[in-house]
Amino acid sequence: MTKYTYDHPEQSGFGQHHAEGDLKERPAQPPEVAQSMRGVLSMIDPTEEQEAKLEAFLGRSMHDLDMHHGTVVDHVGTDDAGQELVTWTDQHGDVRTTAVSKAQFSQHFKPVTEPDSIVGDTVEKKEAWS
Amino acid sequence: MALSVGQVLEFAEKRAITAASGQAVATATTLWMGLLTAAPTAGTDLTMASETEYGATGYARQSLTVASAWNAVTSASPSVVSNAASITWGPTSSSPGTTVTWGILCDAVSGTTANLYIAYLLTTPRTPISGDSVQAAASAFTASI
Repeated sequence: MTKYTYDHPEQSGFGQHHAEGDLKERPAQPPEVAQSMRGVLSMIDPTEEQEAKLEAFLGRSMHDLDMHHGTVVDHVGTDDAGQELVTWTDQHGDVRTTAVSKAQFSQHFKPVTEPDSIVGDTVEKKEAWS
Repeated sequence: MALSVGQVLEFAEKRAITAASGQAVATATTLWMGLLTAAPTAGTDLTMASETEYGATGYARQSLTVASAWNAVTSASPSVVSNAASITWGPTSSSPGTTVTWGILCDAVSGTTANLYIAYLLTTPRTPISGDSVQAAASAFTASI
């Protein structure tokens, strides 16, 4: 696996770059799902912690679920359609797999290089992780 | 995506009855959860070749590490198993305009040869537009035999 960074010149997320409208204004869950999940939880006499956890989940926007500028991904291969598959961890800790077209991949995913390290008086530039 | 009802499909049924009869059964370490835009046919569908999978750019089946992906199987009749953590697809970068109606548990990250394990009817269909992710909550995918 090789590590890459999602890099966008305007710092747009991968989804936002292609989005219709602002992802911050789009809830991740439709209202009927929120209503259903609150209804299910109410049947078990929930604790405040359970309620808070559910509201945090339901309060997520599509922006929260986006692959943000600067996200480090692992390139894990290609799918049967020839798209590049990358895995990454979103801001909620979920490990995600996203299919990226070859054009998107070459344009917006940059190999990660280790930071320059000083060995004695020599500054060494490390190659991309492999 | 709210609660869903799981239909164990033939490939997994065979494994379940094999285990129930005390015979050795193959196990998987990683499975994948995909999204379908049409219902599978229980009893006949064996692989993803039979299914209509969602197809936006950005979409990929999500891997589930079997050892940690599931809540404990309940001690009840019927016993129930559900996903332990939220599962999120995307973000998409195209809008095919198709509606996601089913989740599908299978054993390959892509391709039509993946064996089918469980199909989950989504109680709330979703039609993602470009930029969207599709997220299922923990315990949203439930199945029993």
